[in-house]
Amino acid sequence: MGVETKANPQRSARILLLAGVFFVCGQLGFGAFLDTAPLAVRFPEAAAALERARTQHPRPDIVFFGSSRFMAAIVPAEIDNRLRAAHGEHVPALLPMAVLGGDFVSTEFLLDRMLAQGVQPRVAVIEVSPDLLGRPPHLLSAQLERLFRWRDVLHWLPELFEADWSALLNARLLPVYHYRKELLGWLVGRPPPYLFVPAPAFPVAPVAPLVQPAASAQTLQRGLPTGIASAGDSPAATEVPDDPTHGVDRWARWLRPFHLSERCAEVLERILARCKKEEITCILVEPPVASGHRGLYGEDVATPYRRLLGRLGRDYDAPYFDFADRLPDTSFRDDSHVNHRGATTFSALLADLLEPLWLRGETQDSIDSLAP
Amino acid sequence: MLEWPAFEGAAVLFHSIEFLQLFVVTFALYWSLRSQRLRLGTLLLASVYFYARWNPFLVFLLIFTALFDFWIARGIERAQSPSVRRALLVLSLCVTLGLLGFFKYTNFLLGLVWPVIRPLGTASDPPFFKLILPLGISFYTFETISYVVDVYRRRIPAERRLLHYMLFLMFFPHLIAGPIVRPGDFLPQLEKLRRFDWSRVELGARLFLLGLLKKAVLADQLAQVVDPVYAAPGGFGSATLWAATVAYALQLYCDFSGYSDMAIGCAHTFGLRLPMNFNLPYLSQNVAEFWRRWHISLSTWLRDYLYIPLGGNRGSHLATCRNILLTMLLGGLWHGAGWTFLCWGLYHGILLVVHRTLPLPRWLGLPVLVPLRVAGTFVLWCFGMVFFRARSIGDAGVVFSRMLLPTRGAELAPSVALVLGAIVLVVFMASLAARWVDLEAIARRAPVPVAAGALALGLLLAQILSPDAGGAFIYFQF
Repeated sequence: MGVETKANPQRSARILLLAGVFFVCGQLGFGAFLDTAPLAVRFPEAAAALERARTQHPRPDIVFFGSSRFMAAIVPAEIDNRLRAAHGEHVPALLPMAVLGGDFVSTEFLLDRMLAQGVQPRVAVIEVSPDLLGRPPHLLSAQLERLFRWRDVLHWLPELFEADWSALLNARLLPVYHYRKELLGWLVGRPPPYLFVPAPAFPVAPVAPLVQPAASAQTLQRGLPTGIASAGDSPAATEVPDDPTHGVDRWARWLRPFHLSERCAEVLERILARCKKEEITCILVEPPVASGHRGLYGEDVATPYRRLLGRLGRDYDAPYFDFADRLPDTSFRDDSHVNHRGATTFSALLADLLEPLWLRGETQDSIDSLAP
Repeated sequence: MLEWPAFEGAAVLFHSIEFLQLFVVTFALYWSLRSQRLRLGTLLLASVYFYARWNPFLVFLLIFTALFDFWIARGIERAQSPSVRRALLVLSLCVTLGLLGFFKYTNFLLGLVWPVIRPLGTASDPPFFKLILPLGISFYTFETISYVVDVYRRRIPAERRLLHYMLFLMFFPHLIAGPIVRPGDFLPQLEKLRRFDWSRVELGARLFLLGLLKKAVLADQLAQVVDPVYAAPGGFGSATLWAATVAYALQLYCDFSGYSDMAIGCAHTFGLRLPMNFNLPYLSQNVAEFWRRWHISLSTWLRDYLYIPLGGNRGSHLATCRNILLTMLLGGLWHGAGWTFLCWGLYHGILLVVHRTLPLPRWLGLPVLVPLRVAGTFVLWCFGMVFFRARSIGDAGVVFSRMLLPTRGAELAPSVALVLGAIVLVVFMASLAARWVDLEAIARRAPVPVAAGALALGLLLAQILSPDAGGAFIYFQF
């Protein structure tokens, strides 16, 4: 800008070098702070779920762990009503703990935290599907952003590189930029934007879509692959017309060729082992998906998947119920998330499944006999 | 609706990871090479890639313009006959301005003449073209015109090395939104092989960071107030429209001067100097001073290649006023093909004519009234901003009526007004600090850890305060 430089190259070189060091230290230091920050900073959804678990009265008897598919498909009020209609007031307390982008890693984390705070349900309903057991695990980047510390990153390094290496670099090496909304939310008390101007109340010319969605929703969806949280979760999604084929292409890219992730299977096994140790009955439930999505589950997918679930079921007394094909395509918002009608139907099916287990105190054999 | 060309990608923004990657590779390659030709070739390749990332077809238009005027200028230099020289100059102006006119003004002109020619045909609506405006066409057209005109006037010799000429036109830091570079300033810098200079790199880094802070922290934040208000001005009250207009004035300054700072800083890192584009315009005490401080490379271009050839202030007062009005009118039209930009240019032409015709009373020149003069100039500029930002003349009318007549409507939340007020304060206080304090001297004297800490802190701050929807630079559309 017309500024004459007084040549002192050594001083300039020192300044630039030191600025680089400060910058890197700032990034890594902030990353270290984030790793030790309260859960609400990086994973507010989990913090809220755990708070619900801690404060719910009566204490939860049946807990649902899973992803946005479970979030969309399980209507606790529907299950509750159905159980009450059949058996009066003696019904279990339900607690949905499914989170956006949930997988076995997030489930294990939530289960550990929940048990650590003294909440011990009698039944855990865990979402399973081939999509959660494929390699690379496509929801792992969500856990990277919300849960992982350096130790976890090193443990999952090959999968993380395979799944989304840019997310890995951003989250761990540029955390100041990557988590700026979380940082601002923590500093200011609410997340940006701070200069939000709502559209005027009375009818005027159409407003250009410049207004950003609520930051809290963005925060919740951080790290999720594009479109993964589009259905059933955000308020905006309710305005999108149902399309049971939407998303199939994306999953096709992820599932072909299908390789079972040994590490994801290990996590699931750890969850079941922990539940068994804590005397929590586990039920593995595969939620419904649209026909297009089911078409992706060929023999190459189904065989190793069912073999694994069969073994785990035997080893840990965790029956597996497959609801994948129980709903028609008209019950779906996209290829893997049910709409309101689908949620009602699925919740009723789930209530029918849970009823004997809870109210009749049936044995494992009777549960198996109810398999759909 | 006719469409051409069909493909349009996203421009590489200075504040993007993609630009960082491009810059790092180019910087490393440039300084590792020992041959000036190879270095300039590297810069040219990077510039072509930079432009082609946005549109791989329209980069050929840019290359054609460069080749065409390169050969025309050489022809002008070789020609002995004045008439041949003049004919070549006219040919060059026709082609370059013709391309600019085709891409930028076709639909505007169609809309203008359609009422006249409609009775001749059957169509009820004009056959508008869906043309993609080539990025930076207004800027590089002016640069190539200045080159050919300067050669014609024998102010500079025609460049003999195509590589140098193409780089003058296409050097990526200034390619899309200026500053508008003069051949006499830029081409000589390409002559000699430069030594790597940490001081220039540090200066460049500081300027780039300053621009980044202006763009990401201020301009993009202010856009969140301006855009919704100007999208539906009829729904907002007087205070909100005033606030949004002031916000836009600051947004435009921070966005464009931020871009210029980044471009100048980036060029410094390659050992090249681009001209200054802004000099604290919002501290100007009158409109004439304002135009000497705002978008300086355009103002001086319009002065040298339009106002002075029209006669400048050498004729009668009336002729001078006419020249001012014409220059500003065309300056307005240069910004965009629309009535709002024409009105904006005319408005500033009238202000300059009034300023020239009616001198300020002596008492208004008292030093104690400097703040009043600065505020008055800023308010006049803000009125012009309404034309500049409104989507149509009708919208501008709505904004003016609501700004001037107290009107009820949606208002800003107190917290938003507070943040907005803080940003306005920051911009003006920073301008005052830059005017009164020699910040450069302070930076030179500061201990190394302090200077380094300030750089790192600025970069971290720019990261933290970047909004999600950090958009393209406003002047990309011109």
